[in-house]
Amino acid sequence: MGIKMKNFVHCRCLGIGIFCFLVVALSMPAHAKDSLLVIRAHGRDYEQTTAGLTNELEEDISVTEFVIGKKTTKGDIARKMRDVSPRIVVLMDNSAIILYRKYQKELPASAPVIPSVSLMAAFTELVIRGMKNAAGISYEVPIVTSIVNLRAILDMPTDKVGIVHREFFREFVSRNAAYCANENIDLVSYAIPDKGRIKSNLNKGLKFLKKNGVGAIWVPNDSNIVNNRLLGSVWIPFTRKYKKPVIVGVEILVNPKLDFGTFAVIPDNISLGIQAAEMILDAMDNNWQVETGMVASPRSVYKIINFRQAGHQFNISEENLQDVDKVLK
Amino acid sequence: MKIMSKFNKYLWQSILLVFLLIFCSRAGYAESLYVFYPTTQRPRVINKKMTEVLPGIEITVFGRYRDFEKKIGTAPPDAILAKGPVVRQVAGYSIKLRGIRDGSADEPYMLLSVDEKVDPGNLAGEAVGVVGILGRKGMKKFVGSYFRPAPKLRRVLKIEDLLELLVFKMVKAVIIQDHYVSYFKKRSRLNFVVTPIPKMRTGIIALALKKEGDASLVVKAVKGMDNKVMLLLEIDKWE
Repeated sequence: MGIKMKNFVHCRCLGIGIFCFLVVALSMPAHAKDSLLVIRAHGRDYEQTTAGLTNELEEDISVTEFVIGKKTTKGDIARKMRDVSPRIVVLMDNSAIILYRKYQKELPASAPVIPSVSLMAAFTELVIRGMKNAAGISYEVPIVTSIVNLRAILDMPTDKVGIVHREFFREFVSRNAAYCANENIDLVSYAIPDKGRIKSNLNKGLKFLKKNGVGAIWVPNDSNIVNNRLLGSVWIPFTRKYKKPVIVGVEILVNPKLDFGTFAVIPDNISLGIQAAEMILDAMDNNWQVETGMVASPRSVYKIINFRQAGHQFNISEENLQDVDKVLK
Repeated sequence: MKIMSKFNKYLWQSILLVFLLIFCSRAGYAESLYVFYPTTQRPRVINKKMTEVLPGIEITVFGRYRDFEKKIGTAPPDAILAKGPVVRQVAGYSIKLRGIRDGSADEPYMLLSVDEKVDPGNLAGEAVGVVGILGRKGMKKFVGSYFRPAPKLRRVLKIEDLLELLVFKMVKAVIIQDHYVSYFKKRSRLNFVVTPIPKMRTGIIALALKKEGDASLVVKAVKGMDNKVMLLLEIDKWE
């Protein structure tokens, strides 16, 4: 009876032991995923890009988001980095990049450099300059992309396209001029000083484009030369007389009520997330190293047409709009 | 006696109600069709035109494989319209009809490059652009079965996005169906070079039905598609 009791107790202990082992073993992930921290500003565009990114990576990498605000400090970034211990960081918007840059600057020299991919920022190339193990995707749609897309829907010559820009944009414009040349597009540009009499210089620039007989006008995303005041006093009066398609980089400028922009070409947020995911997977294969300083062009765009203007002034039919994402009537 | 007649009255009422419910649920039921077929047209255009010509069918057009895959997992439709390799990935469906173009149910693939010819047998380590008709791993496997060693893939969602990859020299070449060469030549003035990819052919488009399901309305409607919609799907007829 005593031996039986002992055996019973022994078996029970063994059973409990096996049960505990199984509980612990099964609760542990079969393969711990690497983690990625997205530091981003608040807004729908950033959410869409994060969704595109997460969809692509969720099988291999666990994604954590940190939405920053005006009060977020580099200390908050440091705390989040400690909590998440990411293998790589995605930075969306200039504010996120600037905060992360400050955080990275204060790390001791011996600290490991976590790679970063920056996107949805103005002039990404300039903002990430000096950062370690940092690459990105530009948020400016290349001029050639916009024009090739416009050319596909217009039955009128767009081989000579005009642009008035500040000196600050010179490098961007000259790089784009080379790509345009490959597509037989002649980019007629007029540079104005970064500061000073913007209104009169802008007027001179637009007259220069008219004199050169440009077939379309490309408007840069530069609030110094495209703002409420200059739209009303320079741009709109000019385009009402010189009726050529106007290509812009923000949706609000193709609002039919404004009667200004004809065609808006903006980055496709979901595709941007997918493109970033690809860079992250490349970094993963490359021992968590990115090509520092490399900033790729956005691969996919979202096209919006002001059909009220385009249909009326440039005879674009609805048949031609099958690859346009949004038609504003 | 009174109780019996009351019982009979309720019984008949209940039977009537059950029949009414069955009839109403059937009348309100629409067969569902999921379409995932990246072309040069936007999904919204395909959705609009297909909804016009296939009345009574609940049509959903997807622009991304991932969305299509997820939706099939949560709400499997009665039928699927997609490219051959996509249909083969979806369990529980069998092909009922195949789209035919120029007398063939399948189409060859090409490498499209700029200025120089590309050797399909020598793409190790090179980046190549492709439309993601399957997921990341699926595309790797799919392309890897035609290229040894496999190139590095740069996936895009839309056919037109492949042009960006070539314009900005992000890839050595892009993989496209033979059918799209003229689209690129019309759209861009780049000096394109076309190289056939040996043995790379896939089904153009197929209609697959859920096994043991009933999608007779979808089959009838797809068979009766007009030329305009078939043109949209880049085929001449169904077989």
